[in-house]
Amino acid sequence: MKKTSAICLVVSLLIWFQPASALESKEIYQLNENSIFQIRVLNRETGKKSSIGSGFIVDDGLHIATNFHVISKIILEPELFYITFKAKNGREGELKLIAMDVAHDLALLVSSEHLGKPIVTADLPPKGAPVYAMGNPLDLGLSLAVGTNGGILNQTDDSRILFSGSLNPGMSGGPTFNENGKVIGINVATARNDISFIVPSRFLNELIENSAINSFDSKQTLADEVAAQLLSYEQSYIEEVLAEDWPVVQLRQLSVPGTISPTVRCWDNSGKLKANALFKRYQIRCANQNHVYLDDANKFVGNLIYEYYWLESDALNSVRFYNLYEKLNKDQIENHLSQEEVSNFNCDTWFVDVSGEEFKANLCRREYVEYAGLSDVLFTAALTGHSNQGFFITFIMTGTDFKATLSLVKKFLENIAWNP
Amino acid sequence: MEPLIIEIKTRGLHRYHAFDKPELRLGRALDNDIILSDPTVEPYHIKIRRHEDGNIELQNLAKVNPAQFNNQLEDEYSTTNLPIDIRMGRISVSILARDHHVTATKSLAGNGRPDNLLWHPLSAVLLLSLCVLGGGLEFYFTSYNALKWENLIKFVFRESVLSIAAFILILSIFERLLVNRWEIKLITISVTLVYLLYQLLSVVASELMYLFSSDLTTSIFNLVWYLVFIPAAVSLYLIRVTHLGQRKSVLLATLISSPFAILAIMQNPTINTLLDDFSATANYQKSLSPLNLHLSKTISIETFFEQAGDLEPGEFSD
Repeated sequence: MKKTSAICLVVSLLIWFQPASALESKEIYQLNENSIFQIRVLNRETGKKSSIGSGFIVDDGLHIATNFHVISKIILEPELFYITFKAKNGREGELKLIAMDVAHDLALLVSSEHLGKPIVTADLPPKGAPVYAMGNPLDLGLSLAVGTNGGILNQTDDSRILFSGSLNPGMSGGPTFNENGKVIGINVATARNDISFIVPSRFLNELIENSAINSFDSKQTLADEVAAQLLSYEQSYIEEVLAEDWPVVQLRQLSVPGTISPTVRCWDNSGKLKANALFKRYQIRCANQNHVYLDDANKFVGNLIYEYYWLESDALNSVRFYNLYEKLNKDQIENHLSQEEVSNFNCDTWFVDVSGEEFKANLCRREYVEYAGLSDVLFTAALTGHSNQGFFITFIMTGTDFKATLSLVKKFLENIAWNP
Repeated sequence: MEPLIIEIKTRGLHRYHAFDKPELRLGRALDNDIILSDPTVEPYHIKIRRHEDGNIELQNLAKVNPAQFNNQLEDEYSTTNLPIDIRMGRISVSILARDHHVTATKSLAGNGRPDNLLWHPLSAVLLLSLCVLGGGLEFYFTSYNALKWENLIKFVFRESVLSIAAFILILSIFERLLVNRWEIKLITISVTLVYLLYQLLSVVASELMYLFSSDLTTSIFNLVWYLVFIPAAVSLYLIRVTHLGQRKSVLLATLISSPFAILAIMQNPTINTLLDDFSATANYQKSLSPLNLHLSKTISIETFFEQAGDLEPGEFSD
């Protein structure tokens, strides 16, 4: 009897601990097709779709997760637009925005009626494991895209998984499943053929948890909430960058900060000079990859860009050299925002001692019209006092906290050293 | 009978006819005493009768474009007072007394002395050569590749020769239209002098911009140049060389300079800022100078950090 019981126990344990068998894509599709919806933002006046995406049931069956960028139209014009879902069987209903994580492009919506079976989240499978993205591409109906997990991208501040598969417009906000049919992330963007990005499900879990504790402050607008979240995100991001030990790069006679954060990638940007050029130039451009979607007009913010430009010439006299040097000193923030979106720039100029050398420094700042406190910052500094050597830095941050950015600029300047 | 003078006004030199006959007829027909070939003048436009008592009787003969006598549209007009202004079509005629006052003689540029160096034809050649040399120097100082003669020639031709030639041509046409004269030498000297002065002052303005760390100096320079200097120079030319009246010269100079003045105002960043005009680009101080003369003190990173913290964002546009 004891022996029989022991055998039964062992068999039971084996069954218990047996890994979940991998599902085929058609099974994943069939299991989840009723829990995935098309998310639509409609214009109250015309009743027509203004933007579409995908979303899926989470938590208690009343909530839907999607991307922030899918529903962002309601942020600035909540009286004109509203959000609805449409199920595979044609069922439709209105949704309300209850929480958002702008930095990670997530939004949590709630319905007044029970929507169906929630989808469970899971951790990321190993790199190379097959994963399945579902959504409603191009308003053509629900479909599934097969790909592989490319792992968490540290250049995106760990906020994106590389998905080697095809995501198409309309699939944003849909779930990406592992082989067991559990959600590992939320479809968010595509770069080009078979290079797509997924938001890890842990950010969704945090959003669901936080939504139970925090609710929108009814006194502030949705735009204020977006601005507050972005400022908080940028402050944390800058604090992390400031906490890093910055490697230095040798650029001719200067030591300058190199890759100051795992989110940053640096490239040689020197370009080819004409064969008869009488000068030499060396250019390094560094930029982060964790861009944050803000809205239709402002597109992406959260850019951190810094460039170094070294210029030297033995053949040009000082007048010719400085004409060239001045001509090249023209960097700008490359976006074309209108007065509806941002203020004018306000700029000021200083002469600053950096490592015993004088730099002519300019600092410019503008603010976003709808997002209070959110600034674009442009800092430039040009080496002065050398007849045939020039060097300038351009430092740009968009959609950032001004004071925090200044701390970054300060550390930046402190990490520049002149090596005679 | 004391002869009277008929003055027929034209652009440039007027025509004068002395008449002592008691009767005179003016019109386009060839059997008139004075023939006016303008198509707006009738074949027989007016008749003038002189009486022994000094009375002058004017009779309108025209049905089309009837004559106006001292700005009055009448068929018969009689007066003893001179001068009498007559309008026939688009031709202006005056009847003057023989002792009518003439204005003081205007001296030629350089007092008409052939030994005056500035207005000598050689000066025009010399100044043109200086402009070409200035263009060459500008090319040299703003080119950063090994010198190619063909590029130099193209640049000088485009930036100096063509632009100066265009100005000379435009001003000559104006002069021709205004006073029916064609003072190529004087226009060439004036235009080249202005061009050289502009080249020189631009360099000074650029250095001042760096000295004060402010675009305001070039903004002021551009405004003063196009709003004050150019109209003043053109006025001076019209008064001293073309010998137009002061008021007319200032008016014409303002008119001629206005396109440049409007462009200067529209493109002036300081004025655009004052007008709350929106710009998506940051207008920061980009000037750099080999002399490195500036009034601002060089500060430490710490001080910069403290001061920069007070920088406010720009104005929101309405």
